[in-house]
Parts: sequence; structure tokens; C-alpha cells
Amino acid sequence: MPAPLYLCVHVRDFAAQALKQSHELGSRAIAILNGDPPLERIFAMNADARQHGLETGMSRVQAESFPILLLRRDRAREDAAFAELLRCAEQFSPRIEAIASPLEDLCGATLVLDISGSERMLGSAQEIATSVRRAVRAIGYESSVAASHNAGAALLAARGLPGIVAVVSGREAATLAPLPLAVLDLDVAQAETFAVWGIHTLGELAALPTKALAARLGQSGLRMQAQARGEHRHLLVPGEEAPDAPISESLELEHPVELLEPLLFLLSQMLEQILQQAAERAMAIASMETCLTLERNTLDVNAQGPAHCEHCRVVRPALPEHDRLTLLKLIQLDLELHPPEAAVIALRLTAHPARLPVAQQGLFAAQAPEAGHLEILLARLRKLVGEGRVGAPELLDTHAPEPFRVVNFEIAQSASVRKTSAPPQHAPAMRMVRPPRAIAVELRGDAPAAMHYEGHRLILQAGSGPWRTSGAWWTHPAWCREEWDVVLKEEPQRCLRLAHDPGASCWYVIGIYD
Amino acid sequence: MYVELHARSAFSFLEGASLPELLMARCAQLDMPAMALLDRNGLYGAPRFHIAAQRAGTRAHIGAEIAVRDAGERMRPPQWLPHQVPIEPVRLSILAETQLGYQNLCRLITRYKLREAHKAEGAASLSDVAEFAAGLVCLTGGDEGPLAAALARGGYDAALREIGRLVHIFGPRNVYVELQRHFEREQEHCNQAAVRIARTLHLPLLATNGVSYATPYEREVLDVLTTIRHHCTLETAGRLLTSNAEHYLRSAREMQQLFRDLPEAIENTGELSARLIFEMSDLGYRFPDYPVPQGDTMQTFLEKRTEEGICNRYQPKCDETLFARAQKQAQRELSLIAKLGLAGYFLIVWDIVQFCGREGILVQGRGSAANSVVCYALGITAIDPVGMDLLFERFLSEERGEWPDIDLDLPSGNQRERAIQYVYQRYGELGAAMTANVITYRGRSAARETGKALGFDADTLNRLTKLVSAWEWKDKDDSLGRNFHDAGFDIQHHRIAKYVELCQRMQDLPRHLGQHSGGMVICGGQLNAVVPIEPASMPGRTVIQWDKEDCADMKIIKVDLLGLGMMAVLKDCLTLVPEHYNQPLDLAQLPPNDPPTYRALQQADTVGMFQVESRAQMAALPRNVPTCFYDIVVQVAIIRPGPIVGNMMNPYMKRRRGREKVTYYHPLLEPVLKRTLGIPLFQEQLIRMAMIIANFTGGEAEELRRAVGMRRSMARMRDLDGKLRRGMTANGIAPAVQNEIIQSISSFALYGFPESHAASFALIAYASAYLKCNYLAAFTAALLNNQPMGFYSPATIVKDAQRHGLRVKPVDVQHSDWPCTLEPEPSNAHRFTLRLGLCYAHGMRRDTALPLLAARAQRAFMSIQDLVLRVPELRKSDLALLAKIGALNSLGEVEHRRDALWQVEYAGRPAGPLLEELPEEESAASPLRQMSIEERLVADFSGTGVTVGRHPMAFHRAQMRQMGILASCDLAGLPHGRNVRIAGCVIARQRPGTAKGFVFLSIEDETGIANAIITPAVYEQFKQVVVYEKFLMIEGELQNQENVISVKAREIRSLQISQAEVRSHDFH
Repeated sequence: MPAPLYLCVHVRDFAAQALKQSHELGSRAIAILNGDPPLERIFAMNADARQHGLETGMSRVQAESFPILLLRRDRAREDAAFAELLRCAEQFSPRIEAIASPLEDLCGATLVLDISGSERMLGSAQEIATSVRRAVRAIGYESSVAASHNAGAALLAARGLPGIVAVVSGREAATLAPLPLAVLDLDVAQAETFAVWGIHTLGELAALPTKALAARLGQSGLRMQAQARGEHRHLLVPGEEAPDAPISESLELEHPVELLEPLLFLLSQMLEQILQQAAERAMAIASMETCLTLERNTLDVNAQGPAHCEHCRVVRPALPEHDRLTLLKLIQLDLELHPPEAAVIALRLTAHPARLPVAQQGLFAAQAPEAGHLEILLARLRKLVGEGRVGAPELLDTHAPEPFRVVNFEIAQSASVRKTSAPPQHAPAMRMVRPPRAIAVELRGDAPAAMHYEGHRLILQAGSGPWRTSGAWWTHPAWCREEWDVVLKEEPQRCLRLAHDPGASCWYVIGIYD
Repeated sequence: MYVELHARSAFSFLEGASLPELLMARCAQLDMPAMALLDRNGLYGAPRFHIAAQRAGTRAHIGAEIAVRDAGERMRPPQWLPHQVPIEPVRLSILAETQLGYQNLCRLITRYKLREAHKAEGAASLSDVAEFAAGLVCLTGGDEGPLAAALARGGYDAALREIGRLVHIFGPRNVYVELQRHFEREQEHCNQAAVRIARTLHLPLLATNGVSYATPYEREVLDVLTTIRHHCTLETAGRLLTSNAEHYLRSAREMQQLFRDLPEAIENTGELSARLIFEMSDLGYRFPDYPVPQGDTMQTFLEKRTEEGICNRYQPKCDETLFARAQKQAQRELSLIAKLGLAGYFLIVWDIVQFCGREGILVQGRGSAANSVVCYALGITAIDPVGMDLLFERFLSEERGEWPDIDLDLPSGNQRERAIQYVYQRYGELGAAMTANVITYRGRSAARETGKALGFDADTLNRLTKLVSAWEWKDKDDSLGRNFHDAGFDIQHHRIAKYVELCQRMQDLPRHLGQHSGGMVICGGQLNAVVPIEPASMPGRTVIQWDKEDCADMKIIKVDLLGLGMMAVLKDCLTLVPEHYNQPLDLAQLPPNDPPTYRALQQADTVGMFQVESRAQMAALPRNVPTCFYDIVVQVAIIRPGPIVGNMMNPYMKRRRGREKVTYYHPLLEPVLKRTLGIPLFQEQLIRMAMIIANFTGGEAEELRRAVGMRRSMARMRDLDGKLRRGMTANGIAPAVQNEIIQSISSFALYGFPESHAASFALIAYASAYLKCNYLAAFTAALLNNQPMGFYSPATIVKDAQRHGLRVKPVDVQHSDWPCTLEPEPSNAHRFTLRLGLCYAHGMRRDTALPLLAARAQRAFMSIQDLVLRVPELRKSDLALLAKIGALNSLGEVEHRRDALWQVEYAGRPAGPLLEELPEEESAASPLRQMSIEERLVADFSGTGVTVGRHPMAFHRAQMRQMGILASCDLAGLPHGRNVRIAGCVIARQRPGTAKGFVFLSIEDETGIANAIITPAVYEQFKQVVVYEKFLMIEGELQNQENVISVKAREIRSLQISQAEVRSHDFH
């Protein structure tokens, strides 16, 4: 059996390289900001920027003093770039392990390829490494590539040595010897111990007596020394798609489509494919993203930017769903509620799978509607009354007006429902007027005396207020409001709640007491 | 008429947003005749409120909100609302009607505060309240009060019962049903119930606004304080924040408008205010009597002790004239003491000094007490005021009508604590307490806490707070906004702009109460009836709720028992010198004119010496050339911001060296200023000047002195300025001269020194200089054992001692004790080397070191394995630390530090009981190479903070020479004006407030210390390097005048000398 052969590709500053490539920035020094304004910090940079003295962790203001281009982090772009890198590597081997992916907030991307037995087809290790590096460069990334019969040695060599390195069998230790210990994954305590011992390179670590090292640092010491000597048997774990990895289907149309019906026909077919793949994994669909690539309005001469734009919608059933018709109906209702603004020239469906819901129905429990039907009903209601108006109200911890939000219904996971004491029964009920009705108010002093409501002038017999609230003064803009409870003079007497926005000098009816 | 009778100030600690002075100022602005302050669980802000009221011509009513644990929980939002309001006991709002009521309030607060074992809010019980209810008026409160809580808990009936209970405790006349209107619906529901209850129980209604801040604008600050209190952010605080900005101090018109349906609630505020007759002008404070033997009064007893003291102090001086003058002065002082009734005070301080004497604790009075011959005779001070012709009026005058201030310096640490505990024991738990120290929000703390409230992450806040400018000097652009910009914030962003604004508004607000460094208040009778007492964080200590300025305002006497590091050094020397040098040492009998001591002072060779070691002192010493004790007195006093700002230092130096003629502002002032060559340097001179040239009385002159010496009295100073000018005009002094005199007086603002104080400090300075020059090993050991103190780090002290010929040995487990010790030189038993103690191994705990010392006392350690087996308390990290700093090098089979590290890593591994006795299997030599010089330096500085080996610069001298860099010792021989390069590690950075933005650096190399001066322009150019780099190369013009040497920097570069963590003492 021939000796295994591994190849490691290390792309340094991957996030910066990915973003730079997508913006076609040539050889400019760039740095990437992460975080929300005003607390953005430098998260990654390319070598040119590093040469200017830039450091990770600097704020935007500090970074702006350097002659570099600042870009915002784009995780989607990083994901796509990593997928592209993987595809590129897959040309050379189907067995690939991603050691550090950008999804883990690391700036470098490292792939270990098992190329055992590929020599006859692809050439010597050196030649394969050259080809891989060339292929990676072709998609826009500078990398270092190392080949070795030991996967661990290839990994460390690629991390620590630039360009292409073919580690000669039996010379692993010598090749790795000058590399700094930083190429190993040391924790803080290990790094401190080696520093105080004066061990700075892999060669120095490799030279320590093995038994004595084991007596001091235990198995981790042995592992690190074996790595440093190029003897550590790294067990390659080729990446396999996780069962819950997204499933995607896309389709480019020959002609722009403006109507929903033909689109649904196509979507139905794509959905079929996706559900089949999900079924193979024994999964259902937790959420479905529909991305429609739209034709750009060519009549708009002022329009700038890319030739196409995307219209993306996500439907998320309360329980994972695997019925095509139900999902299609949900997509249809959502697109009817949020139609695209131009003709569609391409479609992409991305599904996020989840386990099929398993629920034990009680023998005597009341028959509940099927989850899918209920979902469609809710979607229909949503279409009817508007987004964010169907679901369960959730109280917010704030003094602000309307201190609640509407959230989707949740399926109770257990029978124990949180008990909360109800509001006092004797409290008067009030219907909130949503949206508030703007009215004109006549004042006597500071208090309202009459109001113009539904085309009538109504005299106010009594009123109490103002009830003042204000808050969020640290945001822009803050809010403040005055409320009055008034009784109309007309018969039958009605009691209303009025609100006054002192900032805008507007009056509203916001509630009617029963 | 409306009087606000329920207001919380910022002294409700995080529950109020305005200082008491601000509330009172707003009260006066609104033409309100009186106002009440009810802070949470204390009278913390009461003195300031009272004094502000006196100044504003209004009345201050005093009370407090008292937490009561068995009166239920305070009102919280209904359960069905999402909320996070913590459970707190109800608070009763109580006002002091009479002095008895005030005393009861103090006793009540003290009772439940002291019930807590540690510093905590605490809560009273209803039985406590009932016991101390006399003279108090109770309000039913706002949402923190019992009425709102009972209503929420059990409705109207419960509320009625609760108020009935209060009526039972306080009496029907003393319970007011409080109504507050903050434009909240729920509150109005509560108000309607309150009105019904008042009608049912025939109780008066009282309108208040439950004030938490002076103006609506301050609601924002209150919200920030709320988030700090609840450890959350503004975004997540939710209903913890106030719902609107209505808790401000309203005018009478606004309140009348609000309560137009209940006018009696407004009228009753005036009536209740009239009932509250108590004012804080008389607290009933009395200093305790000193117990004297039968047949004696305190005065006669004091006279006898003074007489004895005069004989003891002056007879050995063999100067009859002086003795006679001292007796005469003592008579004069004693008669004044008798007239003012202060004999007890002197005797009580004498008693503390006696205790210290009995216990062998060094003690010395400082401050103006040294102006009194009675204090000198009683042993309280060590300065002869008659011999030095000091002004007694600075200490005590008949007109001033206030208690004298005696401060005692004690060795810092355990000995001072013993003296403090003696006072507690002597006067009882309720008779003595420490004064408080109000910790306020300053630049960094405000930036940190406000940032947290606004939701900034910890990293960002760390970066910011490190960069918030902390120099003493602030230039016009050195604003908070610029600090934020420097820290990388975009100050144009609205959120950052709000952050900056809030930081500024948070400045000076109280944060919490600490204890003063040494101020003790003693009371005849019960101190807890004068001011509430609470436990301090430190076990065995209690603290009153007022700070030292409040105590002075309230005419409460404090005795300062201050810890002075140098006193501890002197005390240690008193043990070390006889023990090792076999020579007696008496600090009172030191040779007065020791030539090596004065030589060192003249040459500014003063590292480690008390008061004269700073860079500024070193720059002045060669010009002042001290030759006698009084020169040291002047030296101590002249390097102070007052004389420097007043431009007095340079003229004095010139006159002293005969380069400028001695002149006087006016011939009348010659007797006063003759001793200081026509330049006023001391507070006593200021007093005498005012008396002579402006016809001030002694009391007025002292008031002038106090006005310029106190931060809070700048306005008073302006009033006195007019009076001073009028007096001088009357004496025919020309306006130009008047300006000169006023300038010299104003310069004392904040920083003036009394001559007596300078003399007391000069004594200690001389003693420290004498010990350093004659017993270097003992002095250095004592200095190192009492760190942190003084101007220099231990590393600099060690290097300085080595340059003076002292051999310093490293930490060694075979030889080191816990503190630094002396070892006789093998070659000469009369010479000593200094052995660094185990206390210098950073991270080593005393509890671990003591078993090590005990095991070593039995027999020396044979090997690392032996050490590990015999001292199981040593953790692996301790062993690694000791190995790293070379403390294990003398153990058998250890060849070098890394060898030890290799061995401890094996020996220190956890082994079960079965295997731990097994012998070491390994015997092969360590595979690790020996540490390089650089590695040893890094290990020394990170492990001990010092190195006993060569200075890091010494290893690079050849390279330095190639670069044209001079050693610091070379500078003395070069001419003024020459361009030079120097280099070294930065040991001190200063940007004094008096130096107009100049920065002073002290840099050290292996030959000594060199000073560099950096102009503001150069500082701006090289700011990053100056502030952050450890080793610097400085090029510039040499200034070598009158033996004062410095380099005026033109260019500053960082040098890559060593990665060692050398530390500089930066003055922020």
C-alpha cells in the first residue's frame, strides 16, 4: 500500500482577501471593520495594511489615519468565498478537511487535502502543490501550500512557510524545526511554560527528551512534540455536509417573468428537489428562503449599481414542514404580500433543514388543526391584515407607548405553562385604536376642551391628565407623550383616551374605554 | 407659600442626581423659604445642605428616608408585567422637628447600620422606630413609602391599617399623608386613597414632589445612576428607569396649580415647615472630658504636664534665655487654652501620644500644632516653636472661635491601626469613629460607568479609561472630548456626543462613602446622637456619615491619625540599626549637623529621602545648598505649587546665592519676611502680613488664610480681597505694591504650607537623610519593606543603593526572610549586604512563605524535591515563580534558573498520596539552556520588579557610545548649552499643573538618573513615545547651571533595550 500523501493549503488573512477580491481592489491595502457603529473595530487586514502599522482591534477613527481602504465585514461574502475555495480544492481531491474556517471568526482558512494515489494522474507532490496554488491564485487568493506524507507536518509547514513546500519524507522534523511555536495550537498556559523554558521553535521542542517532557506536560506535551517532529498522526476528517446544512436550488430563466403563477410552477419543481434531498437526510424544512433575481429597470437612467438586484423572502413555519403544497402555499402567500418590483430573471431557493417534529397526541386531547393548515391560515391572515399583526402579543419592559410586540405563535414544549397573575378583574377595559386616529383639539388652558372626530365637533365634559411619559433620551430621536382620559358630553357618554405628541403638536385618539 | 419637604440629593447614592448645594440654590432661585432633605438611610448630605441654606438665607429641614424591614416591601409593578425591580423594604420619610428628634434620627440610623456586620444599607425594625420616634414627624411617602406599598399589597384597608400603625408610633399630630403628582395614572389612584385615609383618620394632607433632582434636565443623570445601581444598561433597564422627568424641584406656583383641588395640602407645607424648629447650627456636640486625678482640674493637670515637659525639653538645651521664653510662651498659651476651655482636647491628644510611647509606636504631630510650645512640651510635636520663633496664632487664636487641629503622623500599617483601636477602646463604639471620605465620580470612573450604562463593551471602556488624560496639567485642548477622540471615538456620532456630555455631568457626583485616611472624631457623650455612625468596610472600624470638611463646618473636632510610610521606615531603622550595627539610635538625638547628610542634600543625592527626593526637589537642592536645619524647612516648603505658581522660588534662590538684592514689598513687612529673604513662603507669614499691612485682626487674618487654603472658599476669598485692599490703602500702600502683595497671598490658594508643618516634615526628612547616609543597608531594607511609598520604584531604590556601594542579593529560599534583611559581609562583619525578602516574589503569599521559613529553620533544604515535600503549601505556580527569579539556584543540583524550572515542573506535578514519597527517578541534567542576560532581566522584573544584577542599560553601553549617547554621570562635566544625547529607562513622568504643559522625565542608566525637560510643542510631537515607551533616547541642549543638570529635549526616540517590564512612576 503506497504511503499516504497530504497537501495543505493555507490562505492567510482570508477575510481580507475575500473582500478585496469581491470589490476588485487590486493591490490596495485594506482593513476590515467588524461590529456596529460607532464601535467598529479592525478585525482583519491584508499584508499591505499590516505594513502600514495597522493592528487588529483599532477603532475606525484610529484606522482612518492610515492610507488604507476600510471595508465592512461581509460574512455572506466570506461564506461564499470559502465555498469557492472548497470547490477549487475539490478539483484535486474529494477528501478535504477544513481546519479553520472563517465561520469560526478566524482570519485564515486552512484546508488539508488527501491526495494519496493522485500522483500518476496529477504528477509529483511538488507538481500537485504548484497546481493547487495556481488554481487558488486563479480564483483570487494568495496561499501557501505544503505537501507531506504526514498531514500534521503539511499543516504546520503551510502555516509557517511561504510559497510551496514539499516536505521530504524523513525530513519532516528538519523542515519544521525553524518554525515558531505559534504555528501550534497552544493554550495560554502552554505558551507561557514554553516561553519561560526558552523554547521558541518547533526544533527546540522536538529536541526535548520525550519521557521527561511527558512527565512534565503529560499527553499534551507528547502530542505537541510529535507535531513538532512531524510524527503526529493527524487523522484526516473529511468534511461532510451536516444533516442540517442548507439545501439550495437555483434556476436561471430564459425570459423575464412578471407573473406569479409561472414562477410558482417553477418553484414547485425546485421545492420538489429540495424536499427530496431533505427526505434523504430524514429532515423537514424549518425555513425557506426565496431569492428572486430581478431585471433592472432600464428606463431609469439615474439607476446605478449592479445590473441586477435581488428580492429575498423567508418563510418560517412554526414547526418544520415537509409537505410541498403547504410550503408552496406559504411561499405564494408571502410573495403575494411582498411582490417583487420587477420581472424575475433567476430563482434560488435555499432551505434550512430541521428534524421532523415528533409529538405524542394525548388520547383524550382535543383535536387540533394540522400544523400546516394552521400555518397557511396564519399566512392568509397576515396577508389580509399586514405583517407583524398576526401572532401573540409579548409585553416589553419599557415605559414607552404600546409596550408590546407581536411575535409568532410558539408551540409549547411542555405542559408547564408559566403562570402569571391576571390583571385585576375590576379594571375598566379599553379598546386601543390602531392605528391612532389623528384629531384636531381645541384647548382651554393646557387641557383639551373640544375635539373634531369623525366629522363632528365633540365637546369634552370632563378630562383627567396629562399623564406624561418620556424615555429613550439616549437615542435619536427620544420619545415623549402626554395622554388625557376624556369624557364626551354627548349621549351616550363615551370615554376616550387621547394622546398628544408635544414634539409634533399632534393629537390622536388612541383608546376607547368600554 | 409652598415648601418642598421631600427631596433626595445625590447623597442618596445613585437615587438622586443633584448635589445638596444645587438643590438649595434652586430652592433659593424659586424663592422658597425652606426645603427639606431626606436622603436614603442617612444624613450624608445634610451639612452641605445646611451650609448652603445659611449662605442662601433659607432654612434647611433635615430628615431621612429610613428603610424599615417589617413594614413590608416597597411597591413594585404588578406581577403580570415584565419587570426587574428588586425587592426592597419600605422607607419611612422622617423629618426632625426638634433637636431631640434629630438626635433620635441619628441614633435610629446608627442602631440599624451598626447591626450589620459589614458595610451595608441595613434596615430598622418598627420597634426601633417606635423607640426613637420622639421629636420626629413622619410622612407617608411616595412610591417608596408605606402607603403606596400597603395599597398595592392589600388595597385600601391594608393602607388604612398601615397608616394607623404609623399614627400609633408617631402620634396623630406627627403623621402627614403625603401626596405627589408626577403625571402618572397609578399615582393618582394612590392619591385618591390617601385623601380618603387622611379624612378617615383626621390626618393632614401634605403635597410634595418627591424630588430626585433640581431640574428636569438632570433626569438623564438619574437614569444613568439607576443603571449603575442595578448593574444594567439604559437599553435593558426597562421600568427601572423613571417614566418621565417630573421629579424636579417645582415652584410654589406650579405646585399650587397641580394641587388646586387640594389647597390644604399646599398650605400644610408652610405650617409643617414652621413646626420644624430644628436647625443644624447646634448639634449638641461636645469634646470628651479627660479624667484627671482628684484635686485636679483638666486645666491644672495640663499645666502640670506642660511644666514637666518644658523642663524635659528645654533644660538639656542649657539655654536659660530660651527656657525663660518657653516658659513665658507656655503661660500665654495655657491661659488662652484655659479661656477657650481646650484643656481636655490637649490632654486627650497627649493621652494618645502617651499610649504610642508606651507601645513603642513612633508618633509626631504635624501641621500647625507644631506652632505650640504646649504641644512640644507634651511630646505631641517635635519642633521647638520658641527656638524657631513660630507663630502661635496660626494654631490657636481667641477670635477664631474654633477648635485647633492636631494631626499625628504614625507609622503606616499595623502600628497606626493599634493607635486607632486604642481610641475606639478608650471612648467606646458610640464615642469615636473615623470621618468619611466621599468618593466622587472623576474622569475615569465617570467615563467607565457612563460607558457601561450606554452599553459599551468592556474592551472599549478599558481602552478609553486608559487614555483619559490623567496628567495634573490640563491644556486648553485637553478636554474630555479630545480624550475620547484620542481613544478612537467618533465624537460627531450622536451616541458618542451624548456619552461625552454625560461624563461631564457625572463629574463630582458622590459614588460611595469611603473612610478618611486617618481622621477620627471623638465625642463626649454619644457621637451617635450627633451624626449617624455606620460600619466601615475594614473590620473593627466605624465611620460617621460626614467627611472632614463637613465636620469642620459642623464644628466637630477630629484628630488625624495619619499613616506615614517614612515613619514606618524610621521605626524599622530603630530596630535594624541597634540589632545589626550594634549602635544605639535615638531619633531625637541625631547629630544636628552631620556633614555626609548635608553633602548628600547639597548634591541632590536624595533618592529615598522623605520630601526631598522628587525631581523638582533635586533640581532645587543644588541651588538652595542647605547647610542647616532651617534650610531644609525652607526646602520642604518651597517646592510646592503655591510658591512655584507665585513665582517665589526663583527669587528666593537668587537672593540666597546673593545674586539678587533682598527687598521687601513694604518696609513694614521686613520683620515678617526677613527670615525668608523677603519672599513669603509660609502661611504664618501670610497671616502676619495681613495683620501688619491691612490692619487685619489675628482672627481675620486666619480667616483669610483659610479662605485661600480651601477649595470651597474661593468666593469668600474674593470678599476678603476687597477688605485687604481697603486696609492697605488706609496704610498708604501704593496700588502696584498692593497687587504684588495680593498676588503673593493668592498663590497660597490650595497649597500653602505652614512653617511649623514644614519644620515637622523637615525633621523627618533630615532623619531619613541621616539614616541613608550613615546606615544605608538598614535604611534601604526598611524602605523596601514599606513599599509602596515615595517617588521611586523599588527597582530605582535598589540601583541607587548599589551605586552607593551596597551589595544587594537576590531572593533565595535558603536565605531570604519574608521582609528584606541584612546579612553581614563575609569579609567585613561591620559591612552589610541587603537580602531581598520573599515578599518581593510577586504573587507569593505570606501564608505560603511562613511555612517555608519554619521548615527551613529546622534544616536547610537539600533539593527542590526536598522543598516540595517539606513545604506542601507551595503550589506549582509558586515553585515556578521562585525558579524563574533564581530563588532556587542555591538548592542542591540546581545549576541555573531553567534547570530549576525544569525540576519544579516535575516535582510540582500533582502526585497521589501513594506516590508522593517516591524518590525522584530522573537525574539527567536539564535539557533547557541557561537564560540569557535579557531573559534573566525580563524574569527579574516580571517576578520581583527589581534586578540585583547590572542595569539593563549597562549591557548596551558600547553600542550607546557608538550612537554618541552619554551616560548620565558624564553630563556634570559638560558645559551649558551643548548638544547631548542621553538614554535610559523612564522611571518618572510628570506634567505638573504648575508647569504650563511642560513634561519632566527622569531616566535612569547604570550610572545614575538624568532629567529631561520637554516643552509642550515637543511633547505634542513625540507624545506616543513619551507616554508609552520604556526606554528612550533624548537629544537636546544640556542645561547645566548651578549644578542643576537637565536636558531640554529636541528629539525623542524609543530604544529597543530590553523587554523587561521596568515601571515608571507617572504622576497623574
